[in-house]
Amino acid sequence: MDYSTPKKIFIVDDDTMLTEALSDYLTRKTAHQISCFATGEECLKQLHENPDIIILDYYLDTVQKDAANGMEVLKTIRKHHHNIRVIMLSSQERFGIAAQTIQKGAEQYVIKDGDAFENISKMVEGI
Amino acid sequence: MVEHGNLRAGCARTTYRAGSLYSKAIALILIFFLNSFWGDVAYAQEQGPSRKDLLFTKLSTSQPDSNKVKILTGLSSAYIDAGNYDSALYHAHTALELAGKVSFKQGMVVANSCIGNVYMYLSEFRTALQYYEKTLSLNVQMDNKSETAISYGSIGYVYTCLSEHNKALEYFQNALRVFEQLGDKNNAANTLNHIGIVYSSLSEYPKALEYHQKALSMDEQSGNKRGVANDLINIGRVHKMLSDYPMALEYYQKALIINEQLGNKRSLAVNYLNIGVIFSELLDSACILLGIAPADKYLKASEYYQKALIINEQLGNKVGIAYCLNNIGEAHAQLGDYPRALEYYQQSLSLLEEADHHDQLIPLENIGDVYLNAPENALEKMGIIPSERFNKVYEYINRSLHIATETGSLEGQKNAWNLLSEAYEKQNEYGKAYEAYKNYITLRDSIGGEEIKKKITQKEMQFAFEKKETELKYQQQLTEEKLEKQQLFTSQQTQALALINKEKELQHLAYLNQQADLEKEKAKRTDKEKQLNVSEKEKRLQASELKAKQREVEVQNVQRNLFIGGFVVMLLFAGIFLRQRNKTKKEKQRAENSEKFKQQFLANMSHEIRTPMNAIMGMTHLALDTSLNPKQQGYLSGISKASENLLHIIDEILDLSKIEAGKIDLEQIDFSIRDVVEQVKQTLQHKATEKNIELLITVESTVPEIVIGDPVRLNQVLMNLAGNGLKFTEKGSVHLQIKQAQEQIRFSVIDTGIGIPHDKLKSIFESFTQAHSSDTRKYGGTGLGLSISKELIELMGGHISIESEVGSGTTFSFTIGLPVGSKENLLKQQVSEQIDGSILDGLKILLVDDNADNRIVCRDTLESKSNVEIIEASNGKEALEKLAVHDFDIVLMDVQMPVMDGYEATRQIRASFAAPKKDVPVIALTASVIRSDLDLCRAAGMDDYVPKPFKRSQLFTTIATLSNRKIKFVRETVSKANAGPAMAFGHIDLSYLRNFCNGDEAKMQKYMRIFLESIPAWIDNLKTAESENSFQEIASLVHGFKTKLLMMGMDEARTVATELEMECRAENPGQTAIQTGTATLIQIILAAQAELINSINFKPQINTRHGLFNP
Repeated sequence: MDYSTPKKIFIVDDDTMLTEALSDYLTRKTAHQISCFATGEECLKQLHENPDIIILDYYLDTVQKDAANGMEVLKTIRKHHHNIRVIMLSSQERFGIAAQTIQKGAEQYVIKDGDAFENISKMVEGI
Repeated sequence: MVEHGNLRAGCARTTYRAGSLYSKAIALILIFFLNSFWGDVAYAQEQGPSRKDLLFTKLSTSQPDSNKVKILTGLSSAYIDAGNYDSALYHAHTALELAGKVSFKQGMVVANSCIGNVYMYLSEFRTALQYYEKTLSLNVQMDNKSETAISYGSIGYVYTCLSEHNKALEYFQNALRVFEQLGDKNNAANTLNHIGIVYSSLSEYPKALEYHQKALSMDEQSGNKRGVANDLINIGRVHKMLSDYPMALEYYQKALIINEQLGNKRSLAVNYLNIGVIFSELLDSACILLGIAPADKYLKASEYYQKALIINEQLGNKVGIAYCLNNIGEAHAQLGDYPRALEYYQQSLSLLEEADHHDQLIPLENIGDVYLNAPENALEKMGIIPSERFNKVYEYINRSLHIATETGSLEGQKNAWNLLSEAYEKQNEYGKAYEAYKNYITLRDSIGGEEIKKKITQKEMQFAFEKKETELKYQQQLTEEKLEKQQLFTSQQTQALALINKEKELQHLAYLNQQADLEKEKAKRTDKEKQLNVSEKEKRLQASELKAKQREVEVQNVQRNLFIGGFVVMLLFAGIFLRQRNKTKKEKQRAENSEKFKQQFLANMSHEIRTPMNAIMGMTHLALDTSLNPKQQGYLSGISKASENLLHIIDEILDLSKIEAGKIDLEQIDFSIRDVVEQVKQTLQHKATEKNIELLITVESTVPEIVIGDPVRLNQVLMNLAGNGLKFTEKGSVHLQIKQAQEQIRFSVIDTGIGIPHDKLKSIFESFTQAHSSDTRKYGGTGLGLSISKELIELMGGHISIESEVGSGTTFSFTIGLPVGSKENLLKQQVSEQIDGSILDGLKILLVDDNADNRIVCRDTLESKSNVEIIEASNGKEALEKLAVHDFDIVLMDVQMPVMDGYEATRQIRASFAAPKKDVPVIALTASVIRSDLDLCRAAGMDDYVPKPFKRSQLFTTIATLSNRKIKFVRETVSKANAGPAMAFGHIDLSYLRNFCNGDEAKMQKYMRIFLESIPAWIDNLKTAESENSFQEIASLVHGFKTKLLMMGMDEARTVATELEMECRAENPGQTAIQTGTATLIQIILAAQAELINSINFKPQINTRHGLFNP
């Protein structure tokens, strides 16, 4: 089996099911060091840990209405940390939003569907 | 309403205008006629200057004074024609002087007549009257019969102009008698017309028409073209006054052809004016038939008015000019140009005032109308402050009303009252407006109307019949031709179209075909009876039986007057009560609507809540029958009892009206207070533990074991009070205390919570009220609990009291009388719960429900206790198909289903199947407990119903009763080991999760917990989004949940979710589809929740997020 090097990964999503599942999925083959955050704010506080990859949900305000959304978090990350790869995760199947996130510096844009974990996994291994 | 009223008023006004305008114009023709009658010297065929030149030459060469007089009067006439009234007067006076000198009586007559004519043209009627009276006395002296008749006619005409109708009629009748004696048909016909005009002024249209038609036939016989044109205009005018515009136009056009041939300016001017008025009056539909755009009719009318104006200016006819100006003003007003309209009206008014002419009331009315109806910006253009508009309106209308009353013009009064009524209405002076409107209606009904129209038609028919007899041969030839052409029109059944087509034809066929046209009309009425409309048939019948009908008409007239009287009285009452009644009617309707809406809402809610409840309760019951460890058994019993309580509470809330009316029926059964209290504790313990609050229960030993009362209501009250205590207590305890107090039992709920301020102690029992305004946000709840509790306690014969201190706690207590019961009865009741399912063994049951979940619950419920054969159908149509193939003992029928609902299916079973099958017992499974729905079930032919969610015993009992099985009970509780069918996962497929977790049970449980935990908040959010119609929010919530659905292998839910999301994102989202989709999704997820709760070892501690997810 080809194991890639373990990485430090932040997963930011207010859907606990998703963060847990994705975390489990990614650590099945490689022992990535994964931290999960329900809000962008929590994630930004921990940026000093210098993660390799941040998997960021586009909509972060479905549970907490006043939470910053994915785009704002992405902008803040990009302002200070140019090396962190950000994978934008979204349920929005719209090219406009995808293009916007890539423009703002996201590495990839992944749509939440049945293949999302597989796709993310491949990306994580590829980075 | 106001606009409509204006329209009507507008029509009425113009009709009137036209009427008076024509009488004047036509009368002028008569004067001309009388002049021409005097003709030896000058009245040659030459016109204008050439004639005058000739006369001047003759004057200078003539020697005898009598000749000079003749020449001078001739000159005067020529000047009248030229519109030079000063010169006309001068020459006439010279002639009169000269004739007086030489005692030339004939000359004096002519000179006086000339002067009178001039004054007539100048509308100085009183002066004219003096001169005409002189001619009359001179003629009587000379015994000159024809001249005497002319004098009579002239004086009659003056009286017409002065609106002294009876005098006018007297003089005209004298004139007519003499003309007839002399055999002077032309003048006799003209006099007939004048009599007709007077009758028109008196609003006696049938008489008027009779005279005009007599004149017409007389002129036709004598070949007097000018007279014919005059007659035609008069007939047209009467039709116009009766609003039959196409008919009027037809007559006017005929007259125009003749007038143009004759080149008579005065007649032409009048004719143009006539036609212009007709155009302005045309209905839009008639415009289209005539090939004119409805919007252009006023322009067209204005065109004709301008033509008339030019001629009148050439003639110097002031009154004629005034009419033209007024009518042009009207056209402008109709086109919305009020400032210009006002200018024209003012010019017209000043001309008529100068002439002291009674028709000045027309521009007066019109000016009033402009001030009343012009928009504010137009008023400003006219230099009027909008707030002062009503002063102006009243000023002008009152002036016009004054003149109308003085001159006895009913039309004028009618229009003035109508305008006044509108003005008062606009100023919100309804009392005055009503009085004015009453006057208007009374006047309106005495003028015009259907009866008069009928009479006219009768006269017209009579005339046509007479004509037919005299000119039969000539007409027959033409009629045949006409009939062929007429075939074209038979499909077009409206009278207007036929008339207009006829009119178009006439333009080509020229005047002489007129008789044929009349015959055509007649022939059409007789031959094409079938295609004629009802009113035409009536007319024809009336025509053939005219004499008999006339008496009837008189009777009808009386009836009509009675009717009008009654109508006015009715209006009076209506006016008084109208507003009040409207108000109460509206309120009543609103109340009815709200009641209806409430019922609808409750029906919907009932369905929405009861459907998932059905799944929860049903599956809990099924789960209780599987092999469980004591812990699981405890949880499920808790769920079961809590859900039963919930259902009861829902019932209460659904039946709000019942609560409000205090119509709740309390049960009187034996029960154990301790059991009730234990149930409360069981249900609330979890919450108390969560909040780290002590939940204490003390029941004094003196409290009887078994009492008689309503355990469900008591439970509800205690749950409410204790639940409330828990909610508002942060630390300490909630203590439920039950004591014997004399014959009664005292219940107290004591908490150590936040307390209630004294000023709020009373209001907390009101519905939807909580002590602190922020409570709802912080503590949740509807605020309904305490008010329901209070009502229930009072129903049980008690009274709730409250003691509270802010910061230290609250005590609710109540005392009710509960008689001591017996243990035996209690046992009986408990036993009756456990019905022996085997009584249903061998039954074949058709289960019809669109919800697979409900089918599972129902099937498992039945199969777990009895040996029955169940065949399922998912809708009514399928049920009918199954029923055709199999024989069933019982049909369990859901009511609301797609494709075919339960009502329809039952109706079809009862209607279309043969004897044994059609009588199969049908039990409705309905989530609705609204009586009207149950009535629908019975009406459809269903035998009984079991409300969803159903209690096992109820289902069994109902089936047993309908299938004639004897109900038996089993005493021993069902053995837990005797497991029913394994719990079926209807919605969840854990294979994906198992695969995902590599079969790691712990991980799987973790995901299941996450899933379960996320459900309440998600459903809350979804419902909020739905209630706010925020489709985008629903879409994103649903989409966001899809990961979970995928993890839990909920394929059905995912499909529903995808469809729902697409619907929400659609350009035109369908609200119903979204509501249904949301409800379905929630239902499935709740069902899945129930499945999962059963399958995993659910630990209460999972509520603390961090402990679970952050290792």
